[in-house]
Amino acid sequence: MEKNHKSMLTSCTLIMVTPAIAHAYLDPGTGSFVLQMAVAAILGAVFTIKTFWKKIVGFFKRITGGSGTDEIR
Amino acid sequence: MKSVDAARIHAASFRDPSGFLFYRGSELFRQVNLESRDDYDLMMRSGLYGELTEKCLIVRHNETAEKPANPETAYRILKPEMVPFISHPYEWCFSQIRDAALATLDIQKTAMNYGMSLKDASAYNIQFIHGNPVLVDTLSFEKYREGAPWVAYRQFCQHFLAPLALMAHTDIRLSQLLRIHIDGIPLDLASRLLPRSTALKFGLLTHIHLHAKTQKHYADKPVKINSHGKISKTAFLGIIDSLRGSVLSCNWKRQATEWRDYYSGTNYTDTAMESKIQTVTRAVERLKPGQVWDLGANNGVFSRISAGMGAHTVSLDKDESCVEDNYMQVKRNREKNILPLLMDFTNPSPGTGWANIERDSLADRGPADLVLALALIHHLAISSNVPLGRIAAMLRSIGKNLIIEFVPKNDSQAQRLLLNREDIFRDYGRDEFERQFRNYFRVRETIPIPGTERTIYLMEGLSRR
Repeated sequence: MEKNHKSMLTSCTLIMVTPAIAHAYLDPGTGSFVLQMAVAAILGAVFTIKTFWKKIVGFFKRITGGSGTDEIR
Repeated sequence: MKSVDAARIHAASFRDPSGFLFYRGSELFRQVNLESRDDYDLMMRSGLYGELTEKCLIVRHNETAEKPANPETAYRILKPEMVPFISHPYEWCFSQIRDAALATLDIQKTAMNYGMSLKDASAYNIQFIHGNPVLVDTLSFEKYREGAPWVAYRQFCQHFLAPLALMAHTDIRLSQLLRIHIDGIPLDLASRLLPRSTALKFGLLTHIHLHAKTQKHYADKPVKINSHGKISKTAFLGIIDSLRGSVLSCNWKRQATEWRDYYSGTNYTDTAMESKIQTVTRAVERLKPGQVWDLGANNGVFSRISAGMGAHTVSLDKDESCVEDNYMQVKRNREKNILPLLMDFTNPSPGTGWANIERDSLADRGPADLVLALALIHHLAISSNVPLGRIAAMLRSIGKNLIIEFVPKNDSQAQRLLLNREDIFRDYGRDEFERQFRNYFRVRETIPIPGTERTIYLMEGLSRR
């Protein structure tokens, strides 16, 4: 587990971003930025699937007379 | 003409250079500085402010012609709606912290629809107004820059997710870590205190455990954040959605506590209870208080009397379960005038933060027009060994008027407290109670409670010497 964490962190450094932080007064923390980079792709994908799924459910609810919503709550 | 020099800058308003709060006389204003002009205008003109006010998610304000506190840096002066009582996150029950967290994420998601983002996610920026968690820092928004990570991600995890996870999975009392750690619970500490099983929950694994490890890994490394990747808007929304799921996954499984079933476990008859209710009702009718503090409020039975009569009532208790019950009632019944909070009177909230004045102590937020101290004094005097004179002094310092129930030693509840301990309270009795309280209050009325040995006193505070 420990090894996995380390390899994950190392790989994160390779894909880092240029965040627009010129005006940030809060210290976002390097580690916090790196973690967001590391999980962005997977969480973005999950979010896309959830949004798509909600749309499908909403579509079928509408055509069957239920009240559907596109918004993820 | 009012003097510019008369402006007094709010003790908690100094971290963000976008602007600050200041008092002129008793009125509170917010100065928007020139450097945040674009962000402020975008918030106002884009429709974001309108949508957030409509959803009761941000405090309302008016732009005024009031003189700035610092004219050289001023862009606008705002007059915000006053918050009836400023509370701190360590005074909130589990569901209050959870609702404040969800409100913060809702605000962030709404902001992104208007091309903006929260630049901070401090729990202190949320206050409960009319029962709802509301953002009170109007200058918390900045233009969203595509590709940038969420600058407030660390703060959100420390201020909201870590305490919620600890309260839900380790111990409800760990919310008090927020009292020590003013910028939220350090994630390495949260990670150590959480059970190992929480690593099986994807949200907590990511946002607490891995987050803590990543922070530690990069803490002493001079990393140049300059490369090729970017966080797309979808990925950003995915992070917000994941945080929301993590917050929602934290549930507090409650157990019975000493105080939760207090009313069903006491010797009050219906007549005694009715008498107490009538006494409080009459006193509130006569005094017409604006602000009432109900000390040892349990689930808020008596708070609801004053609140129902229009007084903003802060309903304080030291038992997490009672405060939770009270808050759930507020939510269920959409009560606007009650604010349930966690408070132990033997150790009330002190002044904390910078110079010990950044976050006000309980006493600094008073005095209340009326303090209710019903069925409380025996707990302070007998359970906590606080002399009657000190109780009187403390109650005078936080309230202008007082309704207090004296519980004599022969009362069954007082006897319960003495069951397994030596009775060292020779002075505890009605005569001594009256003698000590008359040093601080004028007794206006005494009302015996039928069917008990107890007495309710209506008192008016003497002018401070």
